[in-house]
Amino acid sequence: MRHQLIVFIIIALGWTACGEEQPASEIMDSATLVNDLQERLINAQDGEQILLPEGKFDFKRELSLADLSDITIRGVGKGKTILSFKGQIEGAQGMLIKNVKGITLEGFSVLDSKGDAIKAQGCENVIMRDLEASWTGGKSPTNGAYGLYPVSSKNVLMEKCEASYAMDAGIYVGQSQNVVVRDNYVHHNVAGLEIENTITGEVYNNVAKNNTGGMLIFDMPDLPQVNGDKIKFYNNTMEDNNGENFAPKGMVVSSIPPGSGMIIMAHSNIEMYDNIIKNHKTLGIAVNSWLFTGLPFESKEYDPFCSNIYIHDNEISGNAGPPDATTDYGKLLTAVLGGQSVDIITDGIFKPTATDENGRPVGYCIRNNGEIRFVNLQAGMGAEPEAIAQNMDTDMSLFDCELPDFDTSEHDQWLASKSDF
Amino acid sequence: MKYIPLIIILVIMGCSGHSGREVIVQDEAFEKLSEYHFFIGQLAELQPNEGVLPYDLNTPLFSDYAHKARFVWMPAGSSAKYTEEGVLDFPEGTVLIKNFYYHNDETEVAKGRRILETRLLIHRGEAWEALGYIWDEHQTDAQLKVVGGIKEVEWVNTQAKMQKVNYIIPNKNQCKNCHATADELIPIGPKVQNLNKDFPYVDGTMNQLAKWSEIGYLSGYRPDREHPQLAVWDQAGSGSLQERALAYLDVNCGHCHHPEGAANTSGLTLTAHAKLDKSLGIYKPTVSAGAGTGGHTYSIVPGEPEESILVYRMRSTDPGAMMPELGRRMVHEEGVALISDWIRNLEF
Repeated sequence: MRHQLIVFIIIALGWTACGEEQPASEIMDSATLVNDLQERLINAQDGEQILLPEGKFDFKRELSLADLSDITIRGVGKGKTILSFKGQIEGAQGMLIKNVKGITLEGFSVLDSKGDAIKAQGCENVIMRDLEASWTGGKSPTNGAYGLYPVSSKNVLMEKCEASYAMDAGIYVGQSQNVVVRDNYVHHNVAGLEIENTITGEVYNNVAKNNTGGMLIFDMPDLPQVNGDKIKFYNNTMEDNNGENFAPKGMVVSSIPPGSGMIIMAHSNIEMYDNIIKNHKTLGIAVNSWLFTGLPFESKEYDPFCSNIYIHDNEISGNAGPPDATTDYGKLLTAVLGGQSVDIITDGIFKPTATDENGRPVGYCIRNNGEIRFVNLQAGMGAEPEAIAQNMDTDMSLFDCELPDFDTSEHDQWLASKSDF
Repeated sequence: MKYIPLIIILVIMGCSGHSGREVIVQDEAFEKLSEYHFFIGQLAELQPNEGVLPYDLNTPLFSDYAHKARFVWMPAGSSAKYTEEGVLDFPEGTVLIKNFYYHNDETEVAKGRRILETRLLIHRGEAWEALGYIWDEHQTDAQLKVVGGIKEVEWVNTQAKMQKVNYIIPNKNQCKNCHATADELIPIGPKVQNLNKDFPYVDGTMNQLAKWSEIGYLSGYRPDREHPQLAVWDQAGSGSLQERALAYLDVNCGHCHHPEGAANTSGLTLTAHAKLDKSLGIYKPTVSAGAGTGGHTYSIVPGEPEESILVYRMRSTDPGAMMPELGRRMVHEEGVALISDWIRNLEF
C-alpha cells in the first residue's frame, strides 16, 4: 500500500512535470496572418505557442517579440511557411527577438529582409531549428548581413537550418555563451558560418559549400564580450568555398579571400578535428591574429592572439590554385606562394608570452592532417610581401604537439533539460 | 488671469461633456485618448487640462520633420526629483504625452495641421508603460493601437516644397527599442540638461525647470545654482559646433548607442559626454554594420565626412543601412549637414 502511494506520488510528479508543457494553440489563419502576427507577438503571454500556417506571407514591417518567457513560434517547415520581406519599408531585421528567456523558432523561412533575417539579442535558451534564411535575388552587397543571428545570448541551439546569400554570414553566433550549432547547411554566403566572441560551444555536422569562406571563428576587439574561448569544432564539411566576395568594403568579412575553407582569428581554446576541407583555391585552414588585419583596437582586456589552437585529424584535399587575387590577403598569398594554394597557413604572429625557451610557440598544435602544404608567414617579422617572402617557412615540426581537452559540457546539461529533444 | 481663457472655454464647451472633468489615469489603458481628459475642448486643439503642463526640449529626436507637442502630468501632490544625470526621477502615475503632427503648410501654419499619433509613457510604479494612440481622419479622437501603423502624409515644407512620406507609427515592441536601458523602458527626453530652457507659457515665458518647481512638479531644484544645458543643435549661439553635434548625436543615437543600450553590441557610444576616441567612432572599424558601411572602413574619419560610415548611414533611407534603424523614412538634411560640418572640422 505504502509502495503504491509512493508510485502514485511519482506518477503525479511526472504528470505535473509534463503539465509544464505549453498550452495547445491553434494554427493562425493564413488569410489574416500578415495583419495579425505582429499584434499576436505583442500580446503574447509567457508560455505561448504561436503556430504559423503554410503559405507565403509578405510583410512590410519588421516583426518583433520582446520581454517574455518560453515562447514558441513554429511554422509547418522551412520552405513551406515563408515570411517574405521583399517589400519591407521599415526595420533593420526581418524578425527581432529581444530579451526573451526561452524562445523556440522552428519550421519557417525568412526571405529578403532588408537587414538580418532573424536576430535574437539578449535571450536565453534559444532554439533555432529547421529555419531558412535567404535572399532570392542572388549575391548582392545590398542583401542583409546575417541570416540567423543569435547575439549576446546564453544557451543557444541551432540545428537543421539553412542559410544562403547573406552578404556577411549565413549563420552568425555573436558574443554568446554555451552554444551548439549542428546539422546546418550554409551556402552562397560571404561567410558560411561564423562564431564570434563566443564562450563555450560545439560546432559539428555542418556543411558549408560555395561560400567565399566556409566557416570562421573570430574574436573581435572593443565589444561588450571579448576573448572568445572554448569551441570544439568537428565533423564539419567545407567544400568548394570559392565564391566571389560580395561584402561591401569596410566589413571585416570583405577581407576574406575567395577560396577559403576555415579561418580562425584571435580566438582561444579551439579544438578542430575530423573535419573535411576540400577544393579551395586559396587556403584550407588559416590561423591568424587580429594584428594581421592591420586594424586598430583599444580595449585593454582584449587578447588579439590565438591561443591553444589544436588542429588534428582533419581531411584536407583538393586545394589547388591559383589563389584569389582580389583581396589584400589573397594578393599577398599570390605574391608569396607562387600561384599555389595552401592547406594550412598561419600568420606566425603568436602570443609573445607563450613561447618556450627554444623560441617555440606554446599552444599551437597541428598534427595528423595528412600530407599537406603548410606555410608559416612569420609576419611578426614584417608584414610587407617582401619581408614575408624572405621570412616565411614551411616548418611544421614546431607545431607537432597535442593540447589537453577542455570542458564544453555545460550546454549538455541545458540540452538534457529540454524535454522536447 | 490664468483662469480666464479656461472659463471661456468652459462656457463655450459647456455641453460637450469633456469640460470640467479632471484627468483620469487608471491601471488599465483607455481605448481612446479622450478618456484621459488630458485636454479640454476640441481634442485636436490640444488645450491642456488643469495640471497638464506643456514642455519642450533643447534638442529633440528627428522624426521625419514631424512636430511634437509635449505635455507632462503628475498626480496631485507628487513631484519628480531633480537628478544630476539622466532622466528626472518621476513619481508613480506620471504621464508624458507626446503628440506628433504636421503643419499642412510650414510657410503658412494658419492652414492647419494634422495630428497623426499621440504617445503616452505612463509610470506604473515598477515600470513605464508605452501606449500609442492613432488619430482618426477627422481628428476627433485617437484610438489605442499596439501594432502602430503606416500613414501617408503630405505637407509643404519651409522651403515651400511639397513633401510626402509614409509616416510609420511604431508598434509597442519598437517603443522599447529606443526607450530601453538595460532592458528597462524609460523616457528619453526629460533630462535636466534638455529641459533647461525657456518656454512661452500662457501666463508668460519662464525657464521650464523653474516653472516645474513653482507648480510642484519638480523637487530638489536649486534656482541659485547653474544647471547643465544641452546645446540647441540648430542654434549656433547655444554651443560650439562640437557641443551641438554631440547634443544631436546624444538625442538621436545615444538612447541605443550607450553602454547599456540596444546597440552596445556595436561598441559605439554616441552620447553628449562621450570621449573623443574610438568609442565615439573615431577611426573605429565596424562590427556588424552590414550594408551600412557604404564601402567605408571607419565610423568617423576626422576631416572626411564623405568617408565616414556615420554620415553614410544618416543619409541612407534603406532600412538595412540607415540609422537610426527606426523612426525615420526621410533624410534629416540639416542634421546631416551639422554632423558633416563637425567631422570636417575634427582635428585628430
